[in-house]
Amino acid sequence: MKMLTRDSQPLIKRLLPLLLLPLCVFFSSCFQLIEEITVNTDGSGNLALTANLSQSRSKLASVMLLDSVNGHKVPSKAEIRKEMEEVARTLRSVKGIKNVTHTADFDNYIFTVRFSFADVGNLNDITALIFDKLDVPMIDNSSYSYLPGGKAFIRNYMPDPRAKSEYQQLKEVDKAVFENATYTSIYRFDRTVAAQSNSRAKIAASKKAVMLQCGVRDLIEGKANISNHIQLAQ
Amino acid sequence: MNRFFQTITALFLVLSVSAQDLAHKIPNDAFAVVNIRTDHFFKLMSVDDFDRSNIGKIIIEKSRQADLQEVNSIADFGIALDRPGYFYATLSDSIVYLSFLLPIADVEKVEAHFAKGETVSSHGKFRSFTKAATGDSVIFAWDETMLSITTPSLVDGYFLQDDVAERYGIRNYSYADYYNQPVDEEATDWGSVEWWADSVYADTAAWDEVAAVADSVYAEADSVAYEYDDYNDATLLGENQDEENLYDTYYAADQEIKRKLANEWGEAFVESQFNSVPVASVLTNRSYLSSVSKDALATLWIPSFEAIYTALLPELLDFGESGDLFSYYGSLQVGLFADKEGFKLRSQMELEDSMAKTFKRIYGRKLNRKFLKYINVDEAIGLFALSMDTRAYLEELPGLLKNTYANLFEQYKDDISLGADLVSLLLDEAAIAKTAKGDALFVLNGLAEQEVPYISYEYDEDYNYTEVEATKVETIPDFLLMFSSDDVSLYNRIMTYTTRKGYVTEDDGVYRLSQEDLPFELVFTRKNGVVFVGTSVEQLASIVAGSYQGKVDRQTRRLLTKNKFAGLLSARKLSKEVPTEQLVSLDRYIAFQKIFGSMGDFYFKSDGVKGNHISAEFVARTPQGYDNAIQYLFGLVDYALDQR
Repeated sequence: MKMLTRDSQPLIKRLLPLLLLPLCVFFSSCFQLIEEITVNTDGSGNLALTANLSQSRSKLASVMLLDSVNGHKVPSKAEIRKEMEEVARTLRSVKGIKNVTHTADFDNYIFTVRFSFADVGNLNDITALIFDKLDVPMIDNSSYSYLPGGKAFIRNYMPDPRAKSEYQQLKEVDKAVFENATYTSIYRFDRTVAAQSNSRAKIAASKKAVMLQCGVRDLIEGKANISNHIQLAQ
Repeated sequence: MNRFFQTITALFLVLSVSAQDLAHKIPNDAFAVVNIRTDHFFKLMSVDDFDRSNIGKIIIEKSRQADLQEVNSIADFGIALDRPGYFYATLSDSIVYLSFLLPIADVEKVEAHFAKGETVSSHGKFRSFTKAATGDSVIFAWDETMLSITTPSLVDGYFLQDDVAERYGIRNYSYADYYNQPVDEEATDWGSVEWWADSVYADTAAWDEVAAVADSVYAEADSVAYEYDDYNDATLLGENQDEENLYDTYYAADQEIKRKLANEWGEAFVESQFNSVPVASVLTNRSYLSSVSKDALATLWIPSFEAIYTALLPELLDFGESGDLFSYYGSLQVGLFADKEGFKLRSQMELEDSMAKTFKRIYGRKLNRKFLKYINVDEAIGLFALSMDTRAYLEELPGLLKNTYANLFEQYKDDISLGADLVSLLLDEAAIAKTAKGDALFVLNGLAEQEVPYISYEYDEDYNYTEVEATKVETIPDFLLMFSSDDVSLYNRIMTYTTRKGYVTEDDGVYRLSQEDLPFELVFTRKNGVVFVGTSVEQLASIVAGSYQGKVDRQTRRLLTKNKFAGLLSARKLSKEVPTEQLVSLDRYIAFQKIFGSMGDFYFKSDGVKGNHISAEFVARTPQGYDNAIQYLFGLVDYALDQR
């Protein structure tokens, strides 16, 4: 994976206003991130990313009326839409990516991006590109791979120590935003899963899906490991 | 070390052996005078109590760290604690003096602490030393009864005037001067550079040609060292390789002249403090005397409100040719009090006759007493009342705009005047005043909990997920806003229109506005010439039905009805209203309850214009269990420091 070293604002500080996260003074708030990947035998598949902020809907509705909160600029609906269109445009330009769609539901504050990929390896290119687009520096700490012959799907994740350090430097009011936020990953296959290596993850009754849930704060602080080696039946 | 003492003295400016009030040293024309009543402060809190407080301990500890082992109490600094100290500023076109005058109780202690390690000069009646501080120097001078700490600061703009600069030998050499100097001295044919303007841009020459000529000029420029990079390199300056950087040299020389001037004038000023008394002291000024109160902790008196602007922003004078910027405002007096009721910040400003008349008209309305029926003081966390006359305000507004802004922006005087008249022409003051008469009352009844829906997900056994509606409890403000309005037909028309369009729904005279963008529902109604806007359907329904049971005590009634502006906030009630689950951790909950749960009420009020004065007061009430506000404040500080 290419190494992006563009270093300007810290990662979390850049993501904060984008995700509309600086919500309120000292009250906690909630959001859910869901990553759902379906992998076919030939390594192609679909990905859906969902950011559900509806639990903080009324606060966001108030925040959207302001120019800034806790010193972070609040993007307008138009700016958020534009940013999402920009992400979609970038995705379309990646070789192997097609059927890119996105939605922005400002009644419930739910945002989704979906697309198909020709090869699991495309996901690594996309991650790098999106981080680059957001001007977020990235190190080689996350990757997806699919072993030849469809033997296994491997999700590698190493916590970024910079993310933890930046999180710790955040003001308490901003940290509170992450307190009850959750991350969910669902990986689906057209064959059954023989085994998986992450103790947090569970295999579905059909044996064709693996789900993992953890707190976003644990993810940032490196307390949650989301790496997984999923062995598929041959 | 002296910086430390300056901080202490600024905080606790204390007194002297002399029975004479040091105010007689302050000239009648001082720009501002602060009277700091340390005597009153130490009546409210004994010196022993102060020394035992965390703040007192910190001061003593810092003194010991500064090698003042003999300091065991705030009283050991030698400054008298039983009489007032002063801070005052005097301004002239060329210099500003900022001076503390502190009465001395024990001159030996003052010398031991303030003058430790300094080179002290004796001037007969008094002794002094000068301490270089950032930017300006500070002169410490004292005799047996008074310590003066004075900072003279030159007014830069004054010394930029050519005749003044010439008189004092100041060059005011600029970077531009430096940049141009070699041209004159070297007699370079700088005309070749002027083609930039003359031949190239003016003649719109081809870009290739420009580049070629530009190169040639740079070559010439190099020869006389005009490159920016060479600016600080003295060896490249012209033929004389030893020539110094002229800007730095001249700047340093100018600064030295100014430093000497400031010191010379400052010393003369300090000498006059000890060797003479002003022809007329501030004690002869009735306006100042009226600002002084023996019950205050500190009072501030500024003889001219306009002077604040002209002194701090002299550029403003360049805008207004007439010189009448804020001339409608006179002296400003501010007093900080601490008594059994609490901390009080009182301010009063003098108004010129016509302005006083204008404000009297604007604040000519009284609060509609019908509002009081809809307050429940047992529940209300906060109240804010406003009583003004919309019609008078709209009629006076053009005049106010003209008086203030037309003078401030002289070049747009005609435009502003015309604009103000046009606004007046377009507005139907009477009609607007009929719709909103100008009095209003906002009541924060509490923080209500409301169940709000949100989207979550349910996962089946194969981890397929579907959206489901979940609910959570959120805290929203519960408020009621009331304002007087006589225009019933307009209200009815608006409500009929918005109901027909589906923006609002009506139920027994209560209109509800639900909108996705609003975090809470707004409800409206109108009764007996009062329009109500609130968040509680039940409250408005009971108002319409005439069954609402309000409760208002005498104190709150007086606060709201006897003033033109008034507000009240109960920190204690607010702390009870914040739901426990919102204060995420136990530590946070305890700290929050400890600090806010024991706080008294806050209120502010202004009774408008009385005579030629407009005044306002802010009060932080002392909660039960404390003798006075000072003890309460120190209790809070002690608590906060103990939590570190």
